[in-house]
Amino acid sequence: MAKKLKQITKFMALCSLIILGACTQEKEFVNEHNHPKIDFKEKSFKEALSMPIFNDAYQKVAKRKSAFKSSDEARTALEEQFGFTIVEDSPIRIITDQNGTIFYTILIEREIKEELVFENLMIKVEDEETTAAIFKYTLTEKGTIIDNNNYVINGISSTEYTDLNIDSRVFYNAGGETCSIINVLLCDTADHRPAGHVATSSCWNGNGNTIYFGTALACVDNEQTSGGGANGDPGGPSSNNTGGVGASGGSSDPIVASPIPCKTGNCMEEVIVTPCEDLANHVDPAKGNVKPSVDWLKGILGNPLLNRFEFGTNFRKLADVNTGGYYYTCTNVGNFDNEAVQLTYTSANVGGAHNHPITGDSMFSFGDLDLLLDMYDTAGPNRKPEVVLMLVCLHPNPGLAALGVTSTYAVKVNDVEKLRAAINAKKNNPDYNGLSEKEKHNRINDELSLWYSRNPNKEKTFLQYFGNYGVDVYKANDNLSNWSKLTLQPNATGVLTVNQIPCI
Amino acid sequence: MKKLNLLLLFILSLNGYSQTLTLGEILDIDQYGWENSQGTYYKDLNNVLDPFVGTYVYENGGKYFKIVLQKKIQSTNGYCYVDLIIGEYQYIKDGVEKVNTLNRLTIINPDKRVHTITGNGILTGQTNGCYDCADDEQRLRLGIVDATSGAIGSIQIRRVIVGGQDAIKFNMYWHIRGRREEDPELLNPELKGGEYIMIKQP
Repeated sequence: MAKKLKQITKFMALCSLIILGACTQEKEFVNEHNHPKIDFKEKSFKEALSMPIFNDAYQKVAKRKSAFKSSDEARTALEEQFGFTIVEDSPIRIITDQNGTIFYTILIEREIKEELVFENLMIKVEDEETTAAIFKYTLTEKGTIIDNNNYVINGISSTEYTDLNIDSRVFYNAGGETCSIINVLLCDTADHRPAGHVATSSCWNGNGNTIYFGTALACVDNEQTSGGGANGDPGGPSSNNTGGVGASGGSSDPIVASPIPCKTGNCMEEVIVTPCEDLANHVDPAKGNVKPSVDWLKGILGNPLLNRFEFGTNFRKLADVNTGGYYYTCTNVGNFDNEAVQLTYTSANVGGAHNHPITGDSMFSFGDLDLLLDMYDTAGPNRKPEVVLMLVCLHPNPGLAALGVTSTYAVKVNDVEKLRAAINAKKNNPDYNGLSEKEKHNRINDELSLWYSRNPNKEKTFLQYFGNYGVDVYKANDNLSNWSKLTLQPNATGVLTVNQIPCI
Repeated sequence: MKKLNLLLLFILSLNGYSQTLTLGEILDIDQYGWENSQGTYYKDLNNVLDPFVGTYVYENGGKYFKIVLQKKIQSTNGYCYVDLIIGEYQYIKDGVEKVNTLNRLTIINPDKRVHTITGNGILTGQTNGCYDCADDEQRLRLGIVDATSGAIGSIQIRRVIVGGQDAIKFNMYWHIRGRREEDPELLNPELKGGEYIMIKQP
């Protein structure tokens, strides 16, 4: 009966779900996702029971045997049946969408607690019909406490869904489709963190966040539809026929759910792109659209007031709750106080870009590769293939550099373990014994820079030193309409030269 | 007795020698860099580092920035030897001392790369943005680690004459850094990047 809302790892955008907070707040939000208005409340359990709609809905769900004898014995038939207890000192999240549908999300717990697991009872009141379901989330790592009882959860390894079939109505109604949507209130921060943050008090503190209904796509996994009851199925409410595929009678048809808001089943298919296609996607105005940011960095190199400093850009790939697809953002990070620019990244990041100033080197530094590795490690599984670090720099020929001629490079990971091992091996070279991590970093960067300064062909120098680092480097043409992979090849006389293999 | 003393001295000196790295090949510092050879001494054979040694001061608009550059020879961590420039500095803004690492000039460590500012890179001609440099003009390239913020930067030093005084153009930029969003925001170094024209002190 409990259906597995497995997240497809290949497609998993690691959500940051936030569990219910402890305080009671009310607020209305207008969001930027074309949902006119939603209403969000948090009430204590007792307060919620005083609300007729919730009380009525809850009674239908709970089918109480008796009135509370004490708080310890306040177990309902539902609780008896499924073995959970409502956490009454945690607030109930009440969401009313623009259609008037009300969702009550209630934190529940079990006597035997499982590590890295939390569960919500969700009650939905739609057109005076009440449905309910239990969502069991298994996390990939411990949540981080941000305030009171709010936790930021950085990843979910699986989600199990159990429909309670209130009066034979199912909470999750696939309506015969292969895939359907589960509504969750999400928080989208001003800097467009990945969708999938269940909203709490941390999301409306005047910092430009928006609240909107997000959707998790749930699909029947056709490969696992053999049916049959799940082990330990407590019986109770009849199993549902979600998606029209699962069998009745305790079917354990697993349902696959992507945490990525998605309104069609199409996004479940993994799309494999080559590095060349990926770079083209990054530039495509309908996708990554990084060209304005690259042009911005080029403009900085042409500005004598700014071209002595590094600037950066964050690339992110975010779920689009309206289309079910993705959209990309490029956030330029200024450096108008001549400081050390910080690129911040999350699992939604797909890399970034930066410039090297006129006094810097016209090629990637060792620190750049370290940054690329960290970005790659942080990116969600389905975003890793898209991770790229771009560099905008002046032409290595001083004469051309003085005229403002720039080059744009991109470095991508082709073997992350090789990259990791190579970076660690370099840092652990006995030449750097006794130095701190920062001192090592400084020396390695500086010593690479020495070689760049002594070799006019920076591309060749990079390929010579980083050819075995598990990365590939690409060079763009002036308008970024094409990229070429740079490789070292022996020429007719056996001398290694830089070979450009155009993507197109 | 004299023979015995001499023999004893010889044994002691051998013993002392065995505790340090055997000095191997001597190469010019222009061979020092990405991959260095164990035991090799990368020596400033042409004394190209010497002209940059000194104490320099920038003072303008409530900012006081003093840097001391010293040449260190045979710096080693036991792997190889190298001659290099090290630096420590003091930065005062609006009468408030923001950074002072000058006391680190006295630290005793055979590996001089532990200083705040280190390096021995020589840039020649117009490369790396010095478009008005003469073809044979040499600049010094160094690296800096800000202990408080952990930021890493690159420095380029050009010797100039200002108002008849020896001076340097001290150009510095801090490298871009990354952090995961859930991690605390990284501190920024007090000393901002940019070009500082610093007068050499007597």
